[in-house]
Order: sequence, then structure tokens, then C-alpha cells
Amino acid sequence: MIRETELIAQFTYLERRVLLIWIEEGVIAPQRDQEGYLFDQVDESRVALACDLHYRMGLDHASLPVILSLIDQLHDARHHLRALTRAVAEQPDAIQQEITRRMAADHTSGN
Amino acid sequence: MANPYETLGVAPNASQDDIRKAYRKAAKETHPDLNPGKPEAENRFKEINAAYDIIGDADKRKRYDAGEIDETGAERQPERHFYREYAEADPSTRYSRRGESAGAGFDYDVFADLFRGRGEGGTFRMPPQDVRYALTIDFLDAVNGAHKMVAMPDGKTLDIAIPAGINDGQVLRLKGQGLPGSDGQLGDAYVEISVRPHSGFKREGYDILSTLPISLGEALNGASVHVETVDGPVDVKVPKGAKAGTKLRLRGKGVSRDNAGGRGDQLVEIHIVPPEGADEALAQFMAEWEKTHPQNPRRKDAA
Repeated sequence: MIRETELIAQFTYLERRVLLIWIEEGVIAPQRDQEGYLFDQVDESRVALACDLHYRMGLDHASLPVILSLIDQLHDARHHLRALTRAVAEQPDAIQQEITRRMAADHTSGN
Repeated sequence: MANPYETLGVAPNASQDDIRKAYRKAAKETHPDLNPGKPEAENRFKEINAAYDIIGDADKRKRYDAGEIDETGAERQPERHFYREYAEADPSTRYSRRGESAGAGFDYDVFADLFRGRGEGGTFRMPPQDVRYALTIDFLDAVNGAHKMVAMPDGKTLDIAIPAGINDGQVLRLKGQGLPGSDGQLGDAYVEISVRPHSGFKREGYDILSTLPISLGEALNGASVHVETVDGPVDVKVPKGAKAGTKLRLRGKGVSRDNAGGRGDQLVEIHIVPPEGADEALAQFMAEWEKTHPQNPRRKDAA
């Protein structure tokens, strides 16, 4: 866990003002105690992503929460897909083969 | 590490704006957090970041162009953990939207729909996809046309016919060279062409501009000299008494006109080089000569 100043020091571009906007909009949701915000590794990696999107790829403040929300949904979808894959992997071989066969058939149909 | 201009697919004379655009496009396609399903994206993203760290910054770019720093001149990127490493793995992460669907821990509906669609005869559709590439070619290849074999990211090699006279920034459409959709139809490939500048030729519309250095003697007496054209050297007659700045027109030695047919011209600007190793004798001769032929080339109406 690190503090606000340590976090800002890690990113060349990041301005405190912008970080506070992101926190206010829920783009970054750090924990906090009496002394202020506390950022863990997940927050850090998310700040890095927000910095890339805003400072390097030119996304404005209004679109940032939208894009990050879509990215989160994408990760959730992948998480579900993983769970589904695991569930399929626990099924008897015959069922697994049937599922793979159907999927493969669909994938190549029309080619 | 590769040349940062090539890494970003821009010409060495590209504007900062073009470099920024190229970076943003490449970053969109390779940022690991925007492409969680592509493990190979991470290395490519690091490369384009390193390239952009140098030539995306006008000052650093000048120093790189001047040879003061090399491709590795940018600060090393510290080991970075991308968001995707956490986002998918940790179901309790507070950024997840998973908790929002009431009751259900997993929202299987979307997959159930997907599988149902497949079971009933494969109605799940994906349209054919277009792909985009950037290609930098030599000036003479752009003028004369060429065939370029280009290795695609998916391993296949594409033979790209560059039409004669193509311009910097033009986009070639290669029909059917994109990615297939679920119906087997292929998307198209779009190749954006950047033309490397040439040391001897410049292009202006359909004309080629070049300069021709001649000696003072050749200027005074006229001469027949070799001139480089985009087709190779030709002999050109320099008229007697040629003046500096005069443009000789070599008809048909320019760039092919797209549809109109024919070619533009080459304009050769004469540049008179003062005598090398001028000695006392020549200096004295000129002083004598100028006494009888006073001349002030700084006069407003001087040639």
C-alpha cells in the first residue's frame, strides 16, 4: 500500500488534480484512512492504464470512465468465460467432445 | 531495438501530429489492457512505447535525429504490472461490475444465449474484418512503381503492387486480404504508404525537382552534362550563358499521371559552383575584367 505522494511520484505525467478527479468519478477507488488515500497494486496498475489512455492516447476526462467501465465489463466477461470453460472441463468426456465439436463446426461453417 | 520511425510505421519526416496519431492507433491495437486476449500484445506495446518516448517528444527526436541518443536513449521502462493481470483473476476486485446483476453470482445468460444460437444452426455471426498496415517505401519505388513482399502478422506474405506515382499518405486497398468473417467472406487490407525522402529529387505534383551543379566555365560556354533522372542518367545540353536559378525542363521525366496518362516533367535548377582552387591569376583576371564590366549583383533588378 502506498500514499498519494508516492503514487504520483511513480508517474511522469500524472497531476494531483487529475488523480483527484479520477477518484471523485470512481475511475480509481482507493481505500482511505485518517491520513488520506491508500493505493494497492490493483489501483496502481489502474492508474497506469488511466495515464496511458489520458496522457498518451488523448482520451478526455468525460470518456475515461466510459472506456474503463467497458474494459471492466470485458474482464468480467472473460472471467465468466473462464468459469464456463472450467465447468465444461469438469463434465464427462462425451459431453466435452460434443461441445467442442459443435463449437468447431460453427467456427468453420461457411468457410 | 529497431528504428523508432519504423516501429511506429511513420516516415522520418513525419510531423509530430502524424507521429502522435500513429502511436495512438498502435497503442489502441496493442495496449495489453485493451487487448486482454492477446498475450503477444505486451511486447509490441513496449516497443511502440519506447519508440514514442523518443520521437514523440520533439526535443528528444531532434537529439535522436542528430545521433546524440540512440534507440535506447529513452528512459528504461520499469517492470510494469498491467491492470489485466488483476482484473480477471480477482473476483472480489472493487472495480468489477459482476456484483451488480441481482442475485446471480455468474451472469451465464450471455453464454447460454450464445450456445443456444449455435445449437440451432449457427446463427452467431461475425462480419469480415478489415485490417490496416503502414508501409514505408523508397522515393524511386513510389515514382516508378514496385512490388513489395510484406510479412503479415499472421505469418502470410502479401505481394503488394505499388502503382507508379503513388503519393505519401495514400492508402492502398487490397481486396480480400483482410480477415474472414463467420460466413467465410474476407475483409480488405488497407495499406497506408509513407514515402522516404530522396537526397536528390523532390516531388511537386507530377513534376520532379532537382538541382544541377555546373562550373562557371560550363555556364559561360555551354556544355553537355549527365543529369540523374528517375529513369537513370541522361545527357542534357546546358545552353551557353546559362544563369544560376534557370530551370531546364526535361519533358516526360516526371511522375505518371494517374488517369490522364503521360508523365510530368523534371525541372533541373542550375546551380553555378565558383571555380575550385581559384589562383592569383584568375583573381587578377577577374579584377581587370570587372573594371571594364562593372556589375552589382545586389541591385534590385539584378538576375
